[in-house]
Amino acid sequence: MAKKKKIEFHLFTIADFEKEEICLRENHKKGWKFIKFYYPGIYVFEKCEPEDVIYKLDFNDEGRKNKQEYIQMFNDCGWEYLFDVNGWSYFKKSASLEFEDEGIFSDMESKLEMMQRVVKKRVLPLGIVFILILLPQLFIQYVEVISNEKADSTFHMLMLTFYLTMFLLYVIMFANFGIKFYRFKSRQEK
Amino acid sequence: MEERIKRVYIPMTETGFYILYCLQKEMHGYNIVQKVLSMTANEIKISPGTMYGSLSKMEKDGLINFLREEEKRKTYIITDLGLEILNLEIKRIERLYKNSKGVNIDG
Repeated sequence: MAKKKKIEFHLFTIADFEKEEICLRENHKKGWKFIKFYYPGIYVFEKCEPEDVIYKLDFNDEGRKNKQEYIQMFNDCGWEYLFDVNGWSYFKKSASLEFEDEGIFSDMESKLEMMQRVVKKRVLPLGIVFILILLPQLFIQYVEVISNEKADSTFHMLMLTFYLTMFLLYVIMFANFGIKFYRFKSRQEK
Repeated sequence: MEERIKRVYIPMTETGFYILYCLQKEMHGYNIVQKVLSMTANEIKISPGTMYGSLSKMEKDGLINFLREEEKRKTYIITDLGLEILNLEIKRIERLYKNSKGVNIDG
């Protein structure tokens, strides 16, 4: 008989990985273990024995390129590899085996380095799209809208609305990440 | 030596220091974890995310060299550049220590 499953929907952004780790741990404590993820935010859990299991995320492209060795390093330290999602690698370990609950980073510098890898590989490319594509398009569509009086302008109005929406989403996302990264950095530097 | 390397690695994190120090002998990541545990009376336990991240970074920066892979574990050894950095760092720590004990280094 197949085990009971449940689905949760969460939109954890780039800077929310700690929240995600806590969410997965809490679920396992209640008897739901994390088994699958579907983009953009579908988490599938399977019924299991309630247990305190620590979940940790790492962002390491080098690791994913050298998967065998990367996973072996974590295995040696008692961590079980789950899978990769969108560049992030998921690991878990029973809390009874992990003393002091340090997780996969034993100092703040290396955790910060991980976040800097995220900035370089995720935030920066988005920034480039923003500057090279979004902003010019916004400008172009706006110009089209104010310079066309006839049928053409409906199309450009739609385009303008689209790009304006994208612009706002990007700004919110950058602001959100920026705030969280800054808070994270100042917390770690204490 | 590249100024950038000096800026990045000096002063070194405690973890980074122990990793580079241990790699004066050829070792793989988990060896280092165990050696550092024994060197520090179980006080410093290097976690895998930290270890993997540090090893990749040091290799990219030329402080350590990859030697071979056995049973899915990569063995590394310190390079001449790595040794230079390590010795600079040791000097810095010695100075720190002496000053902390109130000993004048020129004395």
